[in-house]
Amino acid sequence: MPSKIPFFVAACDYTLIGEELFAASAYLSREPKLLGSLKGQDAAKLFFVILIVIGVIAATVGNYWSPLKSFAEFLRKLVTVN
Amino acid sequence: MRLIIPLVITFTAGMIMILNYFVPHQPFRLLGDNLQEWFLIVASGAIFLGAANLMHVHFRKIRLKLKNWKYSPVTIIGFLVMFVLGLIYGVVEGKPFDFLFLNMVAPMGATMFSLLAFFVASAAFRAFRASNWRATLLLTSAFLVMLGQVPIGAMIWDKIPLAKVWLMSIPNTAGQRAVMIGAAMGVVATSLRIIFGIERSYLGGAD
Amino acid sequence: MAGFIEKLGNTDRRIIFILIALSVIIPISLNLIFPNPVGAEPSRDLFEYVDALPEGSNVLVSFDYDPSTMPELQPMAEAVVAHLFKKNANVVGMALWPQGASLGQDAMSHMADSLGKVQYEDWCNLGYKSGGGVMIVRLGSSMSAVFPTDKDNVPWSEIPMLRNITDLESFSLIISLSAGDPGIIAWVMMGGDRFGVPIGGGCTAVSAPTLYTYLQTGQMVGMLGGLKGAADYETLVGIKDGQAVRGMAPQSVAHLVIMLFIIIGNVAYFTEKKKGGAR
Repeated sequence: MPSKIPFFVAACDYTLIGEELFAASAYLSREPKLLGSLKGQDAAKLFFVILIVIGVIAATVGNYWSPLKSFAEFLRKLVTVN
Repeated sequence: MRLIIPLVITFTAGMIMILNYFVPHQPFRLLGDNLQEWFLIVASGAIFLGAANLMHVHFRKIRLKLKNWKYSPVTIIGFLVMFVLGLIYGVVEGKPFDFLFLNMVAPMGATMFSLLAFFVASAAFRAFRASNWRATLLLTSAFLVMLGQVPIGAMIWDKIPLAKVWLMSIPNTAGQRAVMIGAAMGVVATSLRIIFGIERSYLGGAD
Repeated sequence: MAGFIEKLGNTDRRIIFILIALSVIIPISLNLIFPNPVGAEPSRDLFEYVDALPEGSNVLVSFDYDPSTMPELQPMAEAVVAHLFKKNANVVGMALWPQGASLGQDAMSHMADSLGKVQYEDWCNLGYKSGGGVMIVRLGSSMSAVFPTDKDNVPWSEIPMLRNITDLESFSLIISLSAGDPGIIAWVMMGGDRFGVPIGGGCTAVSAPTLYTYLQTGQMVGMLGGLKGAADYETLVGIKDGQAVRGMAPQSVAHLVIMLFIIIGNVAYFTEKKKGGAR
């Protein structure tokens, strides 16, 4: 649970946070299913990291240059459900 | 056959719910609504299962005189008293069930959770050591948030609540968001594995 | 001196327990009340959003907690319900946790009696149904399909205030007071994002850091975090002698005691480290 992470980090020597749990089980068992899922998750994460970095640059520079501002708005609408 | 039928049911139900999200029109709307109602019914049935299991576990404990079996009669009597009172007099406000809940169950539940405060204090005393720069940073932010969270922080220096709000809104949000996105990826991957029948552990070892 | 500090660093945890207990008992017995200034916090955002609601708005309040988190969330529930009654909103209560239904009933009837609000005209309690997030999605298409009767078995069609409520989109605001899962996150995902209803929330202090992410994106209109959030809301609504405001004094003293222990522990740790290095 995300809310309990600070307690674990403070009290334990080693803590597995969030998706490190999935990575640890894949690492230990070496099962193809789990390794494949991990690779897929990493690919999706990479995609979102690139989207976030592009979005941050667009939103920051967009304050001074309006075409980038509309691009940042487009990216924001892309990930908004409602 | 024993393996195929559950996998087909899982796949069908999963795909209907996914399509129901993206296609709000009929027939997916009707199918989705029905599946959701069936889920609510099955979830309610699970409560009976839980209660029956509770009774079974505690009766077995008493019968076999396992460790701490003397607490099991207390559990069983408590359960039966609330159950019978609720059945006979109803659960409306002012009836014995409601009275017992508000005056016994609620204070006792609150007390159990309050014990946490003591253990947190003891754990904080033992574990919060500024052994490296990361731990020192953790300690400083912990102090800032603890002071900002109570009126005394504002009395000491009026910028402490602002520092706390900044800390919670910027660095904390970034970290929490990262954990949430990572965990969401894991959930999507696991759910897709279950829907497509790659992950069969929920069938109970019928791999 | 070094020996004394080392001894302090190895204090028996029972002494810590006693000092924590005293730091809570003494302020409560002395009826100590600290002034509670409310800054630009998420609790102020929620207050201002509720304050701006037009009269007669339908608001859904979901009591998603149980007795163990009651000390933090019940004052919040009473303050929120009191504010909604003062704004003449139609308050519909429900719960995602079984015991939340009774705790919500207690909060709503208590505030309704003191503010002269009538059950079934100004407020009602639909009770608890199992299902968590799936129930929320079903509520989005039809509320009466999930709650054919209220908590006291009164049919939906016989409750005057529910006549113009069909689904979640009939509500101007959903406030979830939650202690875990299912709770605010389920409401934001299934209710707010999917059906576009504004979501406000109240949560335990432990869960508050996670929910700041939703505040920043605008998926939540405001949030009450822990007892401080409840105290802020009581101050803003103008509730005299609120439980949360009275709880701020023992919480402050307990925080100071814990911080003192952490400082002592670190002093002992550095002294021991220095001694170990000098040898």
